[in-house]
Amino acid sequence: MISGQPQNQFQQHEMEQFGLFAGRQPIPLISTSFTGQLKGMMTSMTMEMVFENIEDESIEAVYTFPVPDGAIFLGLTIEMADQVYQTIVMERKEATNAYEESVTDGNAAILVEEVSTNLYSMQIGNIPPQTEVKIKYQYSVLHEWRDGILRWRLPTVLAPRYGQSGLAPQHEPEVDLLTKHDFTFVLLVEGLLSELPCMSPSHQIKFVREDDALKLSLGYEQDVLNRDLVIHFQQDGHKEVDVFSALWDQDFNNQYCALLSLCTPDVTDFVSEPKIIKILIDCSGSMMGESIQQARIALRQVIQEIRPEDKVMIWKFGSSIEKLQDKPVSINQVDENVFHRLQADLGGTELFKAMNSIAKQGNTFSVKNADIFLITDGEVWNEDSAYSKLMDTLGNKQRVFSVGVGRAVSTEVLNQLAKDTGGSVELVTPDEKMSARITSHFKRLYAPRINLQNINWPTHPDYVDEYPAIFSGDTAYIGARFKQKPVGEVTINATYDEGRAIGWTCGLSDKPYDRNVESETSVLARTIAARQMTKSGKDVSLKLAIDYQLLTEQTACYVEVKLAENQQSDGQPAIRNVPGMMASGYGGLNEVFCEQSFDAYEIADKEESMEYLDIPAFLRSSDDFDIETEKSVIADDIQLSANELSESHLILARAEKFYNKNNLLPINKVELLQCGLGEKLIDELLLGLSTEKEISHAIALFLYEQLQCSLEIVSKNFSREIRVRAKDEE
Amino acid sequence: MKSENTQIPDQFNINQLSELTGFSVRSIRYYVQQGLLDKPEGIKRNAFYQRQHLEQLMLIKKGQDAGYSLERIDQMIRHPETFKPTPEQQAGVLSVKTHIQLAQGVELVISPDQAGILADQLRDFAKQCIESIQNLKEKNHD
Repeated sequence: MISGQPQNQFQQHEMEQFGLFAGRQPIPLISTSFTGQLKGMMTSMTMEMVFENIEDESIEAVYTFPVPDGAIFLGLTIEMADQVYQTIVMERKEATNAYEESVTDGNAAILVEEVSTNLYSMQIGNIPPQTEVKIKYQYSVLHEWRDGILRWRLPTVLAPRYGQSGLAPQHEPEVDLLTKHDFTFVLLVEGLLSELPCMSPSHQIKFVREDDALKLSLGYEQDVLNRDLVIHFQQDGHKEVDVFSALWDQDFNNQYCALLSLCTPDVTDFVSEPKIIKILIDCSGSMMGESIQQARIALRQVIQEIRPEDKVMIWKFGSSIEKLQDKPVSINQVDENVFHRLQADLGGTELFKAMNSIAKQGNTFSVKNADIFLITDGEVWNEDSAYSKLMDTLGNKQRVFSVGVGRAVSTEVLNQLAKDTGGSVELVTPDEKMSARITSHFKRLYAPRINLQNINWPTHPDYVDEYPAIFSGDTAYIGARFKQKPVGEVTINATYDEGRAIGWTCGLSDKPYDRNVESETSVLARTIAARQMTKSGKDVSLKLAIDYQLLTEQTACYVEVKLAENQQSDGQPAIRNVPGMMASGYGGLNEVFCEQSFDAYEIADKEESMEYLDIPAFLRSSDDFDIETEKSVIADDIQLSANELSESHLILARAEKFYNKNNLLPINKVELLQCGLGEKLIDELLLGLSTEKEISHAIALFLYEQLQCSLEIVSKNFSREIRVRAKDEE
Repeated sequence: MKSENTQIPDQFNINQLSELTGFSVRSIRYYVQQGLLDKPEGIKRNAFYQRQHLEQLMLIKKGQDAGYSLERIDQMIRHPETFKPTPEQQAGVLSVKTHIQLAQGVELVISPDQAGILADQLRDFAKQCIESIQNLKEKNHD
C-alpha cells in the first residue's frame, strides 16, 4: 500500500516508474476490478475503482472511462470511511449544480456524466488527505449472436481520437505513455453459454468449472488497462441456441414488460443483384503497426469474397484521399499489388470528408446497388455537422459495412453509420481470424434482410419498440410494455427483402425473468426504457431516464458525502486527472513488435502464412519471444517454456491429423511423439504419471489447453472430442 | 446614463461571475485548478472574485476564440511579455528541424533554438539516447 508523499527524489522516481505519477502529480486511481455474471444473453457487471488521496491537501479526482456498446446503467455507490452512499440519477443541470455546491461547501461528492456515446466522466470532489474512496459502478449489457459467434467485449481504454471532441476541458480524456493501471477480472457464465466452446483472442484467460457455471478470470493475477478484453462463445451444433425466446418481468405501477430475442437463421439460397462495392481504407497515422497490417489482410479477404459480377472501387484516406482503383472494375481487373500500397502514412483521420467524397463516386454506373466497405480503427470523434452532411450525401441508397481493426477500436462512429444506413459492423482484434469475419460480413452484404411485419402478443401492449431490420444469422431484440401479465404465445411475422414470408412462435412462461442483480427496478424494464428513449423526444426521454434511473446525455448521477469539519476543504480542491494508458498497438506502439507478431506475413505470396496469422500472438513462432513462461490455462501443474509453446500450433495441427486418421486422440507417449511433441516436453508432461488413465488425462488437458488458445483453426469434431475427454477425465 | 463599468460590482461570487462571463461554474473552478485563473479570496461559499478575475476570464475567452489551447492561453496570461501568437502557416514557409537517426526506425526531431539546447548538449543527449536503445536491445537479446 502506498501512503504519504514520496520522501525523496528516489522514491518519487520509483513511483513514477510504476505509473503512479502523471508528470509530478500523483494519480489517485490505484486499482480497478471487473466482476460480472453472464446469464442468458445478459451480462451484469460491477466495475470497482479504488481511489486514494496520498497528498496533504484535498483533491478532486477526474476519470473519463469507456463502457461497452449499449451498456445500461444500473447504479453507482461510493464508499468512504466504511459508509456506503448510493447515488441518484437526476437532471444533468440539477446534478451539476448540486455537485458544485457540495464541493464549494468543502464536502465530498461524486458526479458521473455521459460525455459521449459509451464514454463517462466521473468527478470525485474533495477527497480528504490520506483517504481511500471505493466506487462501484454497475451496468448490464445485452449480447448478440452474429453468424454463430457471440463476441463479448469489455473496452478498458480510449485510444487518442482525431478531430474536435467537443468535450469540456475537464472531461477531455488524457493519455499518458508512462501510466500503468492494473486490473482484475472475473466473469461467471451460467446457462447455455457455459457449455459452449469459448476463448479469448485478447487476453490469457483461465477457465474453471464451478458446479453448473463456468468461471473466467485472467490467466495472470492481473493485467493492464490497455486493450479491449474480448471473449468468443461459439455455437457448435450440439447445443441448440434458441432462435426465438421471450422474457418478461414486472415494471413500474404494476405494469409488465417483455423482451423478445430473435436469432435468425442463415439464408443460403438467395442471390443478390450485382453491386458496386466501394472500399475505403484508413491509412492515417493511428493505423500504423498491427492495424494497417490487419487492413491489408482484410482487403485481401474482401477481394476474395467479391463476386465476378460485382464492380469494385478502392480508395485510401488520411488527411487526403487517394484512389487505388479509380474506375468501377471487375475484381479480376484489380491490380494485384494493391495491398502493398497501404501504409499508415496519410496523416490525420478525415473520415467524414473521405466518406463524402466516395459516396458521390461511381453512382452513374449502370449497376444501381452501391455499398461502402470501410476498414478503419474508428479513432475519430463524431462531429455532428460533418455526420449530418455525410448522411445527406449517402441518402438511403448506400449502406456502410465497417471492419473495426486494432486492440482498442472506437465503435461510436462505426455503430452509428451502420445503424443509420442499414449496414453492419465487425470488430476484429489483431489476434482474431480476419478471414472468417470478412466472410460473414460479406454474407450480410449479399443476403436479404429480414423485416418484421407484425408481432402477435398474448395481451395488448402499451408500447412496442420500432421493428428492426435484421441480417440473417444475427440477433435482434424487441421490447414491449403491458398493463397485464403477458403470459402465453407470441408470434412474429416477417418478410425477407425480396418478399418471401417467414415467421416464429414462442411461449412466455408464467415465471418472470430471473434477475441477476437485486434492485428495485427490473433490469429488463430499464433495458426497454433505454431502447424507448432513443426514439423519443427530449421531454419523454428525460422522464424515462429519471423514472428508470438511467444515465443519459440529459441526466447525471450524484451524491454528497458530508464530511466532519476538520476534513472539509476550503472549497477549492486540487484537480487530479486520471490519465488512461496508451492503447496497445496505437500508432505502431505494440506490446509485441509487429515483425514478431506478423513475422510470416507476406501478402499474396503464401497461403500458409495467412493461416499463421490466425494463431494468437503469444503462440506464434519468434526468435525474440519475450514471454518467459506461459502458465497453463486449465491445469496449473503443466508449465511450458516459451519455445515449446511457440510450437504448440503445430502440435495441435498434427494432433488433429492423428485424430482424423485414427478417429482417436493420442493417449500415450508414442502417439504424442507422432504428433511432433519433443521428448523432453512429453517427459515433463507425463512426469510421475504411471497409469494409462493418468497419462490419458494429462494429454487431454494438455490438448484442451492448446485448444483454448487456437480454437478457430481446428475442426469442430476434433475440438469437441478434446473437450469431452478433458471433462470426462476430470 | 451610467457607464457599463459602474454597473458591475467590485466583488462577485462564482455564480455571478458565471452569469457575467458565460463560463459555467465548473469551468471557472477548472481554470482556477489549472492555474489559469487566480484563486478567489475567502473560502467555501464566502469565496469571492474581483475585477482581475473578470479580466483574466475575458483573456481566456479571447484566447479560446483565437483557437488557442489552454496551455497556450496559460502562457499568454502568465508570460505576456514573451508570448508570441502562432502565425498562421503560410504556403511556402520553411520550417527546418534537425533529424538525428538514433537507431533503425528511431529518429530524434529537434528545433535546437526553440529547445534552447546547445550543440554540445545535443550531442550528449543524442549519445545517451543511442546508448539507451542499444542497452534495451541487448537486454532483450539476453
